[in-house]
Parts: sequence; structure tokens; C-alpha cells
Amino acid sequence: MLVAGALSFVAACRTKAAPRAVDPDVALRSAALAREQALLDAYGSVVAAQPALAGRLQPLAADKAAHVAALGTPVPGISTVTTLAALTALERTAATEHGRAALTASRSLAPLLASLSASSSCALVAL
Amino acid sequence: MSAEAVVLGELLAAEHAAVWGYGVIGAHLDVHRRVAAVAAYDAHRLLRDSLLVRMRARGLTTPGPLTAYQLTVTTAGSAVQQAISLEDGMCVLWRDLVASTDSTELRGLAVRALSNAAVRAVHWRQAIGVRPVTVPLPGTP
Repeated sequence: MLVAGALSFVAACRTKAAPRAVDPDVALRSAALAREQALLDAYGSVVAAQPALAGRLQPLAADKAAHVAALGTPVPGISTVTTLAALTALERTAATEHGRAALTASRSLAPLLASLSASSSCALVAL
Repeated sequence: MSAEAVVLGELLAAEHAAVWGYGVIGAHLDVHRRVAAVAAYDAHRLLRDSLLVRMRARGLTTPGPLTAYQLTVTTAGSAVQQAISLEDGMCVLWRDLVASTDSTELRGLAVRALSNAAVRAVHWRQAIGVRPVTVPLPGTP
């Protein structure tokens, strides 16, 4: 009885001491969400600054909104991006970063990240 | 057979078909668009060869091309439509590879191939005025 009690005490300590496994997807997903949210905000601020670009940018902004919805909860912010050149730079970075994240993410998250990378590459052509 | 091996086999068969397809597509296009078709043809040949090398390195059997494929092309417009569906189909398969392998090297190849196929599809949509020119998530059917 005493031995069993001691053993269960040791087991309890072990359970507590064991390092909690961190799912690497959590950080990759939230970084991807931050990139897409920043892009969505940037499309909004560029259209606000240059309404003549609305026809060209709105379909791409709709893609970004779909990405944000696929990744999690939107947290809209204010973007300082107001030019097409800055928006292009943001898309280029997103294509690279999403692509890099797709190399190490789990098999369930990686395909989404690969599609996001491809989407940013496509936006670079359509901008 | 592993999921990775199955998708590699499907991809190789599809890249063989794409190489053949662009031969037919290019023949129906004017000089300006034929340049884009030839570039796409070359890109798919390189992808086919990249797959062959990687499959052989893994000891996998490599399917060869078929003698002919079913492809209905009668006009320049239908040729571009076929190019769009061809690239959209390749996007789905390359995305499947990302979901079926843990190899960073294969994932890198797949991420690049998916992006490039999606970009070619955008160019073809722009060429015939299909709107919108992008899809939200390339590679999702």
C-alpha cells in the first residue's frame, strides 16, 4: 500500500515535470494569419488612398478575406501601406514566408500554406 | 505503397500529359501566345524530369507517357481553356504532394511547382479575359 502510494506519487511528479509538447503548427498558423490580415488591411488602405484602383484590387482583397477566414479569427488593424509598390512588396514577402512555413508544417497545415504562397505569387501577376 | 509514392506516380503521369497537351495547345495559338505555351511546355518537361530523378532515387517505378491523350482543342479560345484546366489540375496534384510527404526537399519542389502552375493559370485567364483572374486557394478543387 505504501509502495503503491509512493509509486503513484512519483508518477504524479513525472506527469507534472514532463515538458508539455508544443504543436509547431500553432505558431506557423498564427504567423500566416498575421500575414494575411496585414495584406487584407493593406488592400483596404490602398483602395482608400487610391479609389481608382478599386476595380483591380477588390477581387484580390476578396482572396485575402477568404484566407483570413480559413486561418482563424480576423483581428482587423490599420495599415500604413498606401501604394501599389508597398503592397507588391508585402505580397512578395508573404509568398516567400508562406512557402517557407509550408516546408515544416504538419501534413494538415502545409497544403494550406502552400496555397497561400501560390495565391500571393498570383497576386503579384494580377496587381 | 506510401501516400507519397502514390502521389508521385500520379504527378508523373499528369506531367507527361501536360507536356503532350501543351504541344497540341501551342499548335492552335497565334505567335504571341505560342511563346507562352512553349515556355509552359518547357516548364512541364523540367518538372517531369525532376519527378523522374526523385522517383528513381526512391526506387519507385516510373510510368511512361501514353501514346495519346483525350484533349478537345478546335480553336485558340478552347486551347487556352484547356491550358487553364491543365494548370488548375496540376495545382491540385502538387498540393496533394505537400500533404503526402515530410521531405523538405519534395515539399520545396511542390511549393514552387504549385505557385508556378497557379501563375500560368492566371496568365491564361488574363489572355482570354476570364474574371476573376485569381482563385482564392490554388490547388483546392
